[in-house]
Amino acid sequence: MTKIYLPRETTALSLNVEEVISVIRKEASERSLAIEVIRNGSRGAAWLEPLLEMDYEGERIAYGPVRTTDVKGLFDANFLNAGEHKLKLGPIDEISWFKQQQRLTFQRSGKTEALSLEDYSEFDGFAGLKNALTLKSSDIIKTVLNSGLRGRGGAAFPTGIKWQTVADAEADCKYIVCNADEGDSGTFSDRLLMEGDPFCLIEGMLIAGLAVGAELGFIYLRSEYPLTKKILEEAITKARETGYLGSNILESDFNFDIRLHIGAGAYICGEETSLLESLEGKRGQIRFKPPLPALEGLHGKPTVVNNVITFASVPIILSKGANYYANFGQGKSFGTMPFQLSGNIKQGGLVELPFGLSLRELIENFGGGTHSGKPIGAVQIGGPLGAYFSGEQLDTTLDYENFSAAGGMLGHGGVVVFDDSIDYLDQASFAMEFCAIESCGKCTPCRIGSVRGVEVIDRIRNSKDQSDQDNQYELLEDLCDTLEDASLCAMGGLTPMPVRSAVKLHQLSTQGIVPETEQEEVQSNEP
Amino acid sequence: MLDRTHTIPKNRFEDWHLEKVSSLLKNFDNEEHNLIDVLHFFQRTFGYIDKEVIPLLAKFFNLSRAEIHGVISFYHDFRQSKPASYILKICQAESCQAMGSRKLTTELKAALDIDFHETNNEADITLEPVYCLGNCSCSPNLTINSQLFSRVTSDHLKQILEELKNAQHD
Ligand SMILES: Cc1cc2nc3c(=O)[nH]c(=O)nc-3n(C[C@H](O)[C@H](O)[C@H](O)COP(=O)(O)O)c2cc1C
Ligand code: SF4
Ligand code: FES
Repeated sequence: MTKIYLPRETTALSLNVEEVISVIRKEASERSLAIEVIRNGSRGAAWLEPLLEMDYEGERIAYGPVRTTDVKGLFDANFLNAGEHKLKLGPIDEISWFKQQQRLTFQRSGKTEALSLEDYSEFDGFAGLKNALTLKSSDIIKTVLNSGLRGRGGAAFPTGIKWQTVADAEADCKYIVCNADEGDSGTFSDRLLMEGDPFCLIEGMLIAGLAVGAELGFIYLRSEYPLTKKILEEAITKARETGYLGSNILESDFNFDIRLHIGAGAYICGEETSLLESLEGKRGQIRFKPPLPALEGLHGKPTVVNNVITFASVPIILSKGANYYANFGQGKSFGTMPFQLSGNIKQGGLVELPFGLSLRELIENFGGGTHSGKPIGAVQIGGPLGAYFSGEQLDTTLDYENFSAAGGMLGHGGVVVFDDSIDYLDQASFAMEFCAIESCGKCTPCRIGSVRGVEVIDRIRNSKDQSDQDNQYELLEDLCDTLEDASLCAMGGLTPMPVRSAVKLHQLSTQGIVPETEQEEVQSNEP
Repeated sequence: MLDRTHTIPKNRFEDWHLEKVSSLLKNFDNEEHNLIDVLHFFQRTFGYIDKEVIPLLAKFFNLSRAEIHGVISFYHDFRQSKPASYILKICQAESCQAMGSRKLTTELKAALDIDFHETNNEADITLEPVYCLGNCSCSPNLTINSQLFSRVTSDHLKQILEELKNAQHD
């Protein structure tokens, strides 16, 4: 019986992995060969999906990307005995794309059967929870604090401090909320984690509950992820059946359960206060802060709201210790970050690395350059509210502080590459349009100003002379200032980031000169 | 994509009936936080949320009609008119833009002769925008009903439309 691994994961699914499996089954049965198909998660190499692995003398040998039309040839080449074939990539651990990564949060994804508790436990699963159960609440929080872990959802707030605030709050009931709304374009790490290693998220939420004294958690999952929903449902059911969720977890006096809630296609519901409104069944309108959700969150109770990757980074911290985690990274950015490469890129996917690599290394070494083979026109980092960087700005190193010094933000780690056919004004206009579509409607600049922004950019494009154009640029500047100053949340407040950076690249490319007002800023962008 | 052997599943929505809606509602708990779940359930069953249901939901959840309407209209997922058998959502966000989604979208709108949020009755297709499907590393992406298509080209698009057209005669 040969074990074959093929992911049950959205990207692989879109590349017909189910068809590939049925053809493999059919071919094997016709040849009277015994196989067992195991559904792992993805290892994140989207460019190799569907990535097939097989067990050969204790090693995992990879073939990919596999299409249905390759299957017969693979059998002819005796791939069940690691035979040679043009798709053979060799032992998975030797492939440099994987080997050069530092996988902590994604240590299991792709390696294990996603829904097997046996696999999970065998590869360090629940070790963090078991340790946490022997610690005082304050010591769990101290460990998280000392690890230097900061929120991976975008704002990079220290997780330990947030937990401390909730732990210190006096209340009859507290909640844990996992933000799985993952609305940022160019990001998919939450999805890969939930599909590939769902118990890791559950374990992270359990540890959070234990630390702050909460007995109920919610996962707010975006509706665009139907397969993720199925996998999470199955994982939660399994965890309940085996006593990892429910009462007296692992024979302790700790009780905890998780409910899954599905969003309804509103980007703004990724913002934590909008998300809480939505969880309560309301319109996802932003709440004024303070009060912080940590003090008055879901149904007015103290609530931890963290991103999927934040929770999923906690088990390894509790299992291997704060120092182990904190020793990765650079500056004030500790640990690792799952970067996500997409857009016009040859080798797209998820790459987990310690903070500190340069954007260029990430795009060239891992991404292999643009898909079209043309030069890079721009790279947008950190989702739709993140800045566009030019091909000349790629030496910025990937950590939170360096990125904000360079006028951008790392956000949730999305890196979207455009080749030189990019139309910068189109991108600036889209950023305004997106703000108009997704605005929660509370502030006028965000709701109306963004619509004006689209019109102004249109006029820049169609302006008849230089002075008309200069006027429109000035108008756009004013609009951006207003958005920044008068928005209640980062939706309106950060929209100027992609707009300004894209417009600047447009000016550079069309005029070759930088308007005076912007010269200083551009210079300070140099690393 | 050419690998696909199965056909694209067709939506089979039930006809909207207020009595049916009202009896289905009894299976839910009337706490406000369930409202979005209930709306999802109705939309899965009937394909859309008829405004007829607003007074019923207001009574059930003990909320005002304005509040119920506010929730339905806030979320992009909720549709207020019946869609076609095929709902085609094409990603409009940045990663897909970088891989040519603008051109694809133009072609799609031209082929169907409709804009977003409209239905081509003959083709039995409703067209909608979507902002990221989380499959950005294989852009551009679109979905038809529950099925995700990645690395879509103009040729694929033509094939898909042809396939849906042929399925009409089944
Ligand atoms: C417009 C907007 C959208 C956001 N979308 C998300 C999202 O999809 N996922 C997420 O985890 N955080 C998102 N955030 C950040 C959350 O507000 C919040 O900071 C985060 O959930 C906290 O978790 P963390 O500390 O673990 O990052 C968004 C923020 C804004 C302003
Ligand atoms: S900035 Fe926009 S999204 Fe944020 S609160 Fe104001 S209107 Fe709502
Ligand atoms: S941007 Fe289109 S799938 Fe993410």
